[in-house]
Amino acid sequence: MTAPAPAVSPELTTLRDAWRGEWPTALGLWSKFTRLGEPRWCFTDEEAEAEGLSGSFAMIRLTDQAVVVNLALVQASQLERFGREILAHEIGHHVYTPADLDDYARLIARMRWGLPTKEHLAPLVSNLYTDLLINDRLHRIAGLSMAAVYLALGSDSTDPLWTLYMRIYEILWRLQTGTLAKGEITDALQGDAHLGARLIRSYARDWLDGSGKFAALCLPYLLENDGQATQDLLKGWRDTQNAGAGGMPHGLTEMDPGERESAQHPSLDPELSGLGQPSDKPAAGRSPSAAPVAGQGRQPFQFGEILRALGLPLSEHEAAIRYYRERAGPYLVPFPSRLRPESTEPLPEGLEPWDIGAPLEEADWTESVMLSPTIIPGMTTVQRVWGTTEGSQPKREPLDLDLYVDSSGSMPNPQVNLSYLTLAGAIVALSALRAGSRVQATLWSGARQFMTTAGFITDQHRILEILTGFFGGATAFPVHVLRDTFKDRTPSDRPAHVLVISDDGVTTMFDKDEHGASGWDVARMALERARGGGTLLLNLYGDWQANADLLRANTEQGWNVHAVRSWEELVAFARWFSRLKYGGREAQ
Amino acid sequence: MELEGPPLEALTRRLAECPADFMAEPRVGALGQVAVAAVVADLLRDLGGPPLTHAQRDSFQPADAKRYRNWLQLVLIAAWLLHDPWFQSQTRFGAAAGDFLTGGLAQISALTPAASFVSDPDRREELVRLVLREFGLRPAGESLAQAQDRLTTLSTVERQRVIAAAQKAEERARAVRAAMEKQAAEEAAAQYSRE
Repeated sequence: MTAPAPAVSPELTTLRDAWRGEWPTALGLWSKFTRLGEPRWCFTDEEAEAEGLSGSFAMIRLTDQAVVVNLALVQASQLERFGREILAHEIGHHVYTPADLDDYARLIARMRWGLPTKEHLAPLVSNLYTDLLINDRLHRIAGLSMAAVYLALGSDSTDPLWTLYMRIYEILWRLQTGTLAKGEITDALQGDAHLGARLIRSYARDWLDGSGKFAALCLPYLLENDGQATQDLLKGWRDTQNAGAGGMPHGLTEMDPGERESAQHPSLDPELSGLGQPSDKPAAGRSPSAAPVAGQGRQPFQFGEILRALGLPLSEHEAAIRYYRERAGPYLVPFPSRLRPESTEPLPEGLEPWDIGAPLEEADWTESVMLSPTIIPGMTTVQRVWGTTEGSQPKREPLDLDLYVDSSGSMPNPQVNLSYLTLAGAIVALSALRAGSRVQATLWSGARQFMTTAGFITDQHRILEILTGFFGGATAFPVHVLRDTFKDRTPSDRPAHVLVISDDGVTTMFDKDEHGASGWDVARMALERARGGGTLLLNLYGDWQANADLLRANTEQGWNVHAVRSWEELVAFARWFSRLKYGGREAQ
Repeated sequence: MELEGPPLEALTRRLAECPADFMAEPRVGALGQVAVAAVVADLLRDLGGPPLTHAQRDSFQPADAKRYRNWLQLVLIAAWLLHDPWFQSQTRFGAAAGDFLTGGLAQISALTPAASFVSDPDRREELVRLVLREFGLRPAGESLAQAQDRLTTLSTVERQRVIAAAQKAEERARAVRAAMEKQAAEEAAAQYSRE
């Protein structure tokens, strides 16, 4: 039995009804075609918190295009009469800026370049910037008195950042000095306010292009105390603070063209400052001569920091998984496969474990329950194995992939900086999964320091989790994992390709195992029973043929050896791999 | 600025609608199309002022195109503004208009392209307010303090002064940041070499 819900005060119900009545008008201020679901009205702080809103009286969620309003806080802030202004403002975040999660991520990414040493304040500065753009548009085009809202918030703060912010509004809206800005207005602050106002008008359409400049404008005011006073004052109106929670932006692994270069202080832009000789060229807008250069790759740690700034609570490791998945996506290659006669009559042959990454419909629930009354997905679940009788229709059967990733201290940490080896591994693993292969991934470093999927699986996330992990310890290849994987493999099992990602520490795979057996013998046995070939993908700076062990592995056992230290070598490897034939040898 | 003048919006709109004839190339020597002295003479007559003196007429017929072209173009635009029926109906601004066109536009024409006073809303407003101040007027509906504050905010000269101050502050801040980054890099290098 649940506790009865607390009674809603009649004042809040009246307020909700009044604001609900303003909603269609607020939508119409942007366009008569604007469609957006009615806000989630919260009557208590607890309800607001359940919606992800804490501290602010309103917020947006870009993942489900929602507006959330905390009516109790609206009442406490004495903003009841500004329903139209506040709702129109929140709608502006959905239809104007940032509008969607991808652009919000690009906004944060651009602003970070303008905030060296204060990158973590990009969400705050982006909130100031987007609010300026939206409020100015509502003031000019819709005729709303947004200044009245700030007057009602009633701050006499003399904080320099807040004074700058308010002074920009005064200039934009032709308000007398001191109407909103209460702090000291020095010449430099007045100049910055002019530049800010000019920037807001000049970049009203291409607001992403002006975002880095706005961040650079705010930076000097954030150095002393992170703009703490402004953070406190804006606490009630941090409506984009967690706007990206639950979503995932796309295209963030690469920088926008000109993203970094454009983040300069607006006083350095003659078109905004107006300093210099008069010319006949129009003053506002972007310079066509400042053609941006092509986009560069972003590093995994930067990618993770941007995601966290969007309100996505991701660890560095989780961010790295998403980073390599996105970067590998465009470079997936055909995975080796062979043509086999297709069955005309499926024959049930037995059961095998069903893991979480496999399609749900493949699980045999009846047999799983018979095996264990308590279902633990991935542990007690089984799936039916079907045999085939040969028919006339051909069918492609891919290789499985057995992946060993060196994570010793000599290898770069793929969670911090881009590792071409890890990216190459991601390309091959994702290509394999796309072709219908199963993958076993093993992350290894020192003796007994390893992590493995313990079997061939199709769970993409788990495989990338292993691939992007990092131990940073000693170097000792897990010979026993290679041995145990293939010692019982029969000719009827699907062939597998063995891929080892490492550096010169790869030669530890030829050391003796814990029983004293030769690693050379284990490697030969594995390659023979795998029947899909093997590749050593190495971060080597010398000629690999100068290494006697690698040369022997190549000539005696048939291991392919590739060095990947740069983007060009990565592309060359991917091209080579796409030409592999079924047996692990390159096609002619 | 003691007296109330016409509404600001009416004059800024007039500027925005400045016809192509007043935006045409002013005649300097043998080049250009519009005789600025003739336009100004007509204006002063319409505003009830005295005719142009020889000295005034000569000042609107300079020989140095490079130096005076932008100023002459701004004079033409201001002449269009001053032809507004409200000013004509007062029949008392002729002399002040002559002084304003002769000497009141030199400073801003040295800083801003004349065409901006038609195309840019802020510059339009600035020109209107400068004209009103020259005639001892303020926009209708504004207090003296509001009118003065707004003119100061919009003033190209003042604006360039404070932006130059902001630029210098940014240069100083950038130098400090660069020094801090250098120091941090040196400390990191020293720590690395110790380890």
